[in-house]
Amino acid sequence: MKDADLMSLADGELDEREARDLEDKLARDPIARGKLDAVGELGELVRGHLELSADAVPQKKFDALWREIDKGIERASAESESTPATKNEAAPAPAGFLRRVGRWFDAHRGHIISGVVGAGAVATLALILRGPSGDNLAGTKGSHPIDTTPVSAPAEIESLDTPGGTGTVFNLEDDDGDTTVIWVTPEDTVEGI
Amino acid sequence: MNKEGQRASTGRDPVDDRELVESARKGDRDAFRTLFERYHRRAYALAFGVLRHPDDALDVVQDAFIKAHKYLDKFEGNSSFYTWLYRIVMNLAIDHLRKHRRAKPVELDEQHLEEGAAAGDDALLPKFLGGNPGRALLDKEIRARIDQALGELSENHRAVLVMRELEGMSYEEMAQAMGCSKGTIMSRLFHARKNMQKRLVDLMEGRRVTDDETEDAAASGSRG
Amino acid sequence: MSPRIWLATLALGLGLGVTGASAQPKGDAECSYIEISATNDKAASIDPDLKSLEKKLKKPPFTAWNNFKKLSGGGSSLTKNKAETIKLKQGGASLMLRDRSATRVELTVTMDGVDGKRVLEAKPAFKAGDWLLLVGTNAKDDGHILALTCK
Repeated sequence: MKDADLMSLADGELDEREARDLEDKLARDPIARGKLDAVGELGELVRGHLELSADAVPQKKFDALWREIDKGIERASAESESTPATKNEAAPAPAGFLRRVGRWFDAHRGHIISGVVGAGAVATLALILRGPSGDNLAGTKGSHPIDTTPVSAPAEIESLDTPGGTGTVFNLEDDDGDTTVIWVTPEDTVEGI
Repeated sequence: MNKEGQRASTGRDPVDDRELVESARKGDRDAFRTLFERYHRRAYALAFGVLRHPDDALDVVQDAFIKAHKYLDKFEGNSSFYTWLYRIVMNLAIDHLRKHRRAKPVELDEQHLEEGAAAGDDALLPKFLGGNPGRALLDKEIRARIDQALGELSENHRAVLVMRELEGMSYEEMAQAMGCSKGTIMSRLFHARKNMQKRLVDLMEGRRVTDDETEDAAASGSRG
Repeated sequence: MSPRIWLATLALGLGLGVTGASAQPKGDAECSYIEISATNDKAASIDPDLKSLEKKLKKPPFTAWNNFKKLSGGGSSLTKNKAETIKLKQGGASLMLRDRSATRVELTVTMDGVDGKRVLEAKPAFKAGDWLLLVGTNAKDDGHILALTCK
């Protein structure tokens, strides 16, 4: 019995028939049963540890966090009313290429589609970019949390495959119209995350 | 192991959350604060599990709630509010890892899952805690060892382990979150569990030896 | 038709095809591309041939570089479902028109690196006249940009 199958059973990834077959085998294999139980045991340890770690953070830290969130919400509301031209201005770029690009991404999260595709993955993304009136949001067929309703006639990337790298899609607005950018970062700059 | 059961562990009425979301959309900041109060620790646990740095985790939680508020009108209610929120947290945590990557060795031992699982030395270990993880968590030394073991995992391995164990994410959901294949997720999860077990079982064996020595000493003292 | 008139008609047709001046029959698109290298040098400069993109290249995130040179450029006349290869100075690309309406074009775009390996395959759909920029970076953090626009 393969450990990979035990893991899939523990994680609820097997269909009913496969799970039943494996359970039948486990009834006759106490060592394999022990391994299955160990996966559950480890999960409880990790979950319990992380939840206890979160409980240990003093409430005043979270109170302070809420104050920052409140300010952030105010700032985001104010920013959404400013003009597109000012939104595209960046602070002076720090040294380091990826840091410079990363700082820009950080400053413009609301305008960037996080359509990030990993190496070798053919991700079917339906990324819908809003036009000049609002923010750019990502909607995917997968588990990406943000859905969009297109306002104008934005660009769409129906699929994106970037073997050996990661692709990020974003939209730039200026007087000439919208520019869609697909930025491919080589794999060796994102590996080991 | 019931993914859905794990996810329902907050015991919150999803209808209640939807009412809060609706009010928050209309500008009721107190409603959004209530959502924050309900889920901030769980969101922190997730971010901390991935990032391992309390301040970074707090930053990610802050950004996640700001982002969630910004895009509240896009939340359609097909999933629970927390399910939607934790995906934002995960995306931001993974983004954070990419941008602030600390020097961590790439997991050279990340063999293909089938090879790793077949080799005896790289197999999953059977239960080692005697079936009482809850009690084990009361032990500071065990907590410290769990913390250390999590810290020694590569960021990839730790991210999948946390996503799976804390949020019950499916392999497919994790593959989409991390932008890799399901096979890669399974391999990372397998190795993460194997590595955690190895680090923790050493502790348990060390403790069993210590307990045996203590019992022997006590027995010889009483005989003496 | 006399040979002179025939030749004139052919020349006109070819000219219109290259410049994109004619009204586009539904299902066809005229695309232009510009291949650009992006680096950081002591002196900032933008190739005069990149006038049409200068505004965009001076804005973030392209401010990661200060030097932009046109490597190659040209046009590609696309017929639906027929891939056209573009030879680049650094690698290669192909374009295929999947569909179009009066205002939007849907393409399949591929890009290969200098080593011939596939770097990107995408299916963008965008407004005719807007730009699509495909950006890659190498180990030295230099940029390679393929700018596309279709009408």
